[in-house]
Amino acid sequence: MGNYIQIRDISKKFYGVYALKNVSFDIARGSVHAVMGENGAGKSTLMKILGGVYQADGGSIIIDGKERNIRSVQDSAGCGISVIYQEFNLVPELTVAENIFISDVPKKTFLGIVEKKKRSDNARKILDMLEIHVDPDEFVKNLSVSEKQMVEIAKALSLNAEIIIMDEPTAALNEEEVRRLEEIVGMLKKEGKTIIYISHRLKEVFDMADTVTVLRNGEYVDTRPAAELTEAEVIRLMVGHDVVQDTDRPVYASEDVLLKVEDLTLKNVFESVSFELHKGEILGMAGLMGCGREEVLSAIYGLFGYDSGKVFLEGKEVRFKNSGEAIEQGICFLTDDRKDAGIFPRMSVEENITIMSIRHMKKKWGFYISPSQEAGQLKKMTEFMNIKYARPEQKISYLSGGNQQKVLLGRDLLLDNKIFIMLEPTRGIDVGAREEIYSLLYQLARDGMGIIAVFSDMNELIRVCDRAVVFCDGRITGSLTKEEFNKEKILTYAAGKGA
Amino acid sequence: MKKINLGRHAVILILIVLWGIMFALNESFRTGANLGSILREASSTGIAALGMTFIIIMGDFDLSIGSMLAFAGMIMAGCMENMGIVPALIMGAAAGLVCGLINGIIIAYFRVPAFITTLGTYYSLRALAYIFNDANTIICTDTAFLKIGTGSIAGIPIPFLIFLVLAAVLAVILNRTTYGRHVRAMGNSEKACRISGIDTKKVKCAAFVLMGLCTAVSSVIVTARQACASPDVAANFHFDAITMVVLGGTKMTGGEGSIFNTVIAAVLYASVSNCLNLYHVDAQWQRVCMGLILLAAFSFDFIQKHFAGLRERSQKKTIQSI
Amino acid sequence: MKQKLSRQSENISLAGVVVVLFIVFTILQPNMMTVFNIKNILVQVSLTAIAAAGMTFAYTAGVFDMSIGSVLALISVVVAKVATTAGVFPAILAAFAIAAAVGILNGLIVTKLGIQAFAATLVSMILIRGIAVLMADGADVPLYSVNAIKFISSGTILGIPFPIILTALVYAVSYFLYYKTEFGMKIRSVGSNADASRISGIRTQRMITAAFILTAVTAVFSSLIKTAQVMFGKATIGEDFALDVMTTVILGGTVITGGKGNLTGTLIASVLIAVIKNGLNINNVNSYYQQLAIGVILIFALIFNGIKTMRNTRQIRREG
Repeated sequence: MGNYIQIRDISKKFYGVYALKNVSFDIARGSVHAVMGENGAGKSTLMKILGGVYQADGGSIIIDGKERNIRSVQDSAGCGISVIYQEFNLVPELTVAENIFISDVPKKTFLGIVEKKKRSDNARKILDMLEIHVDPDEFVKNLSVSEKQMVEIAKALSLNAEIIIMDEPTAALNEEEVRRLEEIVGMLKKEGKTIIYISHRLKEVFDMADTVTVLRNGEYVDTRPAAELTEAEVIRLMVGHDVVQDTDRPVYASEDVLLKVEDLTLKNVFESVSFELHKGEILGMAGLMGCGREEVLSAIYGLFGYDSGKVFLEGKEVRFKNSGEAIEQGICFLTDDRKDAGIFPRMSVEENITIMSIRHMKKKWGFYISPSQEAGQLKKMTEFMNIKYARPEQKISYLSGGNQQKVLLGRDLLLDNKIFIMLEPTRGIDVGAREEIYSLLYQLARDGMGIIAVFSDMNELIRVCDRAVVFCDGRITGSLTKEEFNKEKILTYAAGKGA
Repeated sequence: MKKINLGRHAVILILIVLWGIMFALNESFRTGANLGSILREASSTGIAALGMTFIIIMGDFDLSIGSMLAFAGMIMAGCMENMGIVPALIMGAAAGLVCGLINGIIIAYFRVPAFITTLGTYYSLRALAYIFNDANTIICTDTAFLKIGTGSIAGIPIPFLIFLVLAAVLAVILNRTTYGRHVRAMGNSEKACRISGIDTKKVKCAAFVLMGLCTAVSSVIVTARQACASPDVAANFHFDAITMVVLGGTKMTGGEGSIFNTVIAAVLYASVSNCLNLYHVDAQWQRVCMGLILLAAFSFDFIQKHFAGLRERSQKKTIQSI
Repeated sequence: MKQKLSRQSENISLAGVVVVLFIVFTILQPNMMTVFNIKNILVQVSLTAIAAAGMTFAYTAGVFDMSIGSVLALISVVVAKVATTAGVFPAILAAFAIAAAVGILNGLIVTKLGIQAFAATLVSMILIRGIAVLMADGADVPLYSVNAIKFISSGTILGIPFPIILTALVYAVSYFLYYKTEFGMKIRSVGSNADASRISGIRTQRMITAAFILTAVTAVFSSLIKTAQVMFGKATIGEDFALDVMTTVILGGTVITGGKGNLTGTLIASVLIAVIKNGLNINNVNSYYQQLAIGVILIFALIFNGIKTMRNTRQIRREG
């Protein structure tokens, strides 16, 4: 045994906020070591540090008894590490074979000429071993999401690394592919490789892992042998307390239909999607990555079009050509990509919260936005949601995730909205702020709003929503009421195996 | 702890230091005529730099303004002979507006990167300026018109007054109107704009139209100062305007910037150029100098970040050693 | 496979346009169709085509170079100065060394200072032009004493003009680099998805710098041809060169946003532009109209390119 990989006091800050704080733990050689934690716990950041994508602000990494200074991807590869990242890191304009061997072209050829035939053959060998049925000469941009994920895995394995990090490799895979991956991990373990495995899915972790490390809010919580843990214990370690079921929360859903979607179809993306949203209801949308739920919601909101189907808002048919029209009708949309598509990073907190409401503000001389009125709006929302910031002129990028999210919600609350579409409203937010956002959702429901929320975390979905529709491959495969909620049921529907 | 934002005040400090030194050292610098000519020079390019501030804040560029200025000038001067001053000015403005609109439509509605689009119009408009009067200069004789370039009110050159008024108007638009907010939002994150229901195409297109109008005003001043419109005027105009904007601390990455600083930077730029002239620096050396200034302004972000990194690291070391 | 076919058909239709235009011009002015004139066109093609090959690499890597017009001038002056004092070979050596230095400089400004390619090369465009003019001392440097240089523009091998042979060579090497080597793959990779490339262990900054070097180095060939044509080291040549080259590359079907270049298209497009220029010239159309024509063609090529990428992104959204 021995401590093959020793992670010592690793810290990393983004915009002055700790993503990782003095994290230390050991990983044994030849083991499958699971790293678990909620969204924003710092798992991915830690893996990116090991992979050389980020540099740690402090701490050290010792591999095989030697302290390693990982400053670049090349350094990381030099330490025998290869990483399968959560986001796809394939180059769309290159073929599958080119992607697999992108950093490892056979070097012995004259002038670096690529022997295409040989490369394709080698790629095919790896793909066959993994039972991936993809043509090595196909362009990556033509692959499906799960095929891309499998190619990503093939790429990492082709490097023949000693340490393989898998950052949520199963998020986009179906059950059969997950089973195949489990076999591959078993095989690698037999070969003596060390695997660091990150996943939300408890079942996989218990199937494969020898050891489990839990992180919470960027801090180390505990490391234990998997055999000594139960699922409930892991969840408790991850969340910091037992999962609460807000069963005593009154349900505000009424009979009035607020939004009705009929047979919405966009070819190859989603097909005949139909559902209803009632006043005061919190409707959850479940499904695996790439199941099409975000696309359906974006299409309703007018961010992109659909081929056929109808949308009714309070009984009236509507079709929004752009988001501006949807907003006029009282629909708002909270993105899951807060950093790139939510905040305006170089604008102040105040300007960020009023960006949508200024259009309807009464202006001096017909055009002049009065500073006092703007400040008033910020104050109103600050008090309503307990947003914390130093000054109204402070740039929003310096705020914590939770406060940024509150500002984004405040943007919508300043308008007269009826329907809130929210993608991952609690992503990258600490536990305290998360609770505040839950109670905000309940409050909105009580006031008669309709809320559609996408949660990838099943626990959250079950806790918060009144009802859920489950997507798989662009179709709705199931609809569940609060009484019928349980994780297994949702997962079965999400895998496309409706009862 | 209050952080001093070096970027925000650097231009005005440099300007004060430069003027201080030059006032002390050079007699011909401090004459009224020379100062007036600095302000006139600053205004003619500075007005276009105001429009360019909007464009750069939005995260784009416009390379075509020099050619646009020549083209608008030719149209204006051409019309002045036959139609009189007011219709000529209107035609000049219309030329700027149409040119800006063409840029805007191609960039916003066909999603073509701005620098290549405006490179295309840069050459096309220049060619049109030559074609308009067979590559000949058009002389302007209308004294009322010439007054716009050369006159003063209460000792302040008229171009500079126009510059200040426009700057004030555009500063209000940028900071306190919905449109200005949208322009800045665009430079921050176009994706977020689309989700927030901002009509990104319209905002972008309008900014290029505004750029065209500013260029037309610049063209009026340049033409009036030279008493003629020539097709080869303002060859490096886009370069000067971009330098002024970047010197004023507007970030190349878009999203933030200040009209006030662009005004100061315009005066600074004209002063530097004036000083180089006073000391008889060769025109080519001047260009090289200006190039280096622009490079320095471009790298300002990098330098600032680099020094901030060094400072943080040294702080950390001292903390650790304690 | 599908992709290859569509590119092929694009190239064929572009070539079709060349043929049609050539016929139209010939009808207007029969002198178009003489051996002399066709040779003339081909030499003119070589001027832009060679530099456009380098620029295709730059576009593929997701950057581009506004400074090549100035590089053209600087190299011209350097070659003339060195050739008259030290001989032709030192001159050519110096030319390549300086071009490589310019490319490295552009690359460093872009990758290390984090300035966008467009802005960085805008600066170097001004600086390099300034240096060229200063070196030439504001006058043309005569090259009459060095007759060997003349060969570059008007020499023939087996009856084929040397510039055409040069073009063929440059394109052969470019094809090889672009499609057959690891280097070409990495350039495409960086332009298509820089983050993924970096994470995959490709040194993206080096690749971008290499693309700038290639652009500057190919510009040397163009500059040598141009210099040999006029037999002067001229600091004022190449004012419109960047426009010509960029128009060529974009017209050839290379994607502006990077990742996907089309060398064949670039070559055909440079013929197209040379035919247009020559055709207008031979029909006595004022040179300003030629400039206007190129500008307008660029704008339409951009609009077309824009429509195509819009359609593509819609497709990706559906398939992805």
